[in-house]
Amino acid sequence: MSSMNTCSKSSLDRYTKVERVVDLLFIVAMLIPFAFQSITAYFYWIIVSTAYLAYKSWRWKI
Amino acid sequence: MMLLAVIIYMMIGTIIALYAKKGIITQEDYFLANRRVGGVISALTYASTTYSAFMMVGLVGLTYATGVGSAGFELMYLVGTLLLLSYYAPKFWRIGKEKGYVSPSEIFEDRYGKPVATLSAILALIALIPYTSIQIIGSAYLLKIDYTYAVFIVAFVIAFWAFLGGLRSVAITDAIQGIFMLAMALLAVLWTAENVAVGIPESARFPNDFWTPLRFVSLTVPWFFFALTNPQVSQRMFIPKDERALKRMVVLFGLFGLIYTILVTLLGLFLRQGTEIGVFPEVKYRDEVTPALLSIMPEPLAIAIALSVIMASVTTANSIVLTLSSMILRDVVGEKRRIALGRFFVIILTIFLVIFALQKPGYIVELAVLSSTILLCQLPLILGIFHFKIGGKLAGLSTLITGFTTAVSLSYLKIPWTSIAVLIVSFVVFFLLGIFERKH
Repeated sequence: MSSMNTCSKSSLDRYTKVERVVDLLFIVAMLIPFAFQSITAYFYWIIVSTAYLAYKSWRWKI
Repeated sequence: MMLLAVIIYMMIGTIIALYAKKGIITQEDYFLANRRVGGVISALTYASTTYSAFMMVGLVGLTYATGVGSAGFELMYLVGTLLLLSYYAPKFWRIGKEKGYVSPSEIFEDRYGKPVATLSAILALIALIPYTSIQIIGSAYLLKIDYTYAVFIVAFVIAFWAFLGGLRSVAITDAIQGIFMLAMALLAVLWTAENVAVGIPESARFPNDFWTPLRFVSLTVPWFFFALTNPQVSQRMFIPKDERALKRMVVLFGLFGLIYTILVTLLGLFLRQGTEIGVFPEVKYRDEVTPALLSIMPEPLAIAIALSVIMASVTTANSIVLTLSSMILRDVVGEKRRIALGRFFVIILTIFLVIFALQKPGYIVELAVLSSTILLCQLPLILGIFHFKIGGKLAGLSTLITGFTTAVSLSYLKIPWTSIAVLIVSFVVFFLLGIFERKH
């Protein structure tokens, strides 16, 4: 059976290596609070999530 | 007064549903609003479908009881969803449009064969009926009238709007209710800050005895992949009218989720602070934290917030009913043209939900919690469509059966790492049988 990657490409399909690395870094960054032992983790998670949303919004020009 | 608020709510929703019902001819019209939904409405219906009563009841209580780790768990889900949607939503949207997919399981049919799509639909049914019944049970309690009548009222609201106007009606009512849910969460936080406490107690730190790395990962895994594995949200990837609407859906959903999560977790943390300084009673059972808060609020505000919890349940439940109806119709029965049968299944599914909700079986909570873990077994099949060349009917069927069996048996044994095991077993079975299939 073959993969279904047969559709036409557009700007939506551009997922570069840089973007892949940035995505992975954000996921890893979400796990860092295990080292905090503090309520600071709360603010840290909000900042990282907001930064990720801002990044995706910028990437898709919304 | 609560009942009056619900009656007004039902009337407004019904007027919208009657308006939305015009022009429904095909199954695409009924189940996908003819793939013509704008970005803002798509985002709001996605958010309202995703965020159930768990937020204002479950997550408030979880944060109160276990601290800031709950915010990390929920925000991890949000970041994971944004990641998955930014990569897979365009692919789902385009394939859905090009191949005319309506039910989310149809994406399996071309690659793995009809039996896999059918089994996937049946598993979704098994996983989501108890989960949806819990939404009815929670809302029925909030109505504070005879439980049986309350179940019928909530079930009627869930079924009637979906029955009349299909997804168009569900999406518009979801959008309005989503805004109301957000506004009420904000009001709850402001009132609590003014009348209970502001601040995050040091005892709420992360990690702690509850939020161990194993528990965090085990709870996060099913939610991280929720956007792909849960059909009521994966079907939402088919509905935006164009690429711009699709992008808006993803980003605005993220914004909604971020604000809602911050508000809900702040509420839990402020209440915990209130308990520690002795101005809010200590609540032992965490799902009772929000009801305890409502009991000390002025009645109109308490009713409005309770109504927002009912709305969160209804928006999740009617989307699930509509999606399951499309899956039974197209993947199990094989009917891909008429919509009357789709409406019929909306009623039948709601009757099942009512039966579950009225019986309140002891195992229903466990089954509801298990729903996302059961659906995890579909993940290798979904990723296989876009990334792997191996895997056909045998690999597809075996992955679903072993993943489901693992989820049910390990959770019955109360194994804390059930979701991780389901993920590993499903991928191992998929790859092993995929390689076997290719060689034979």
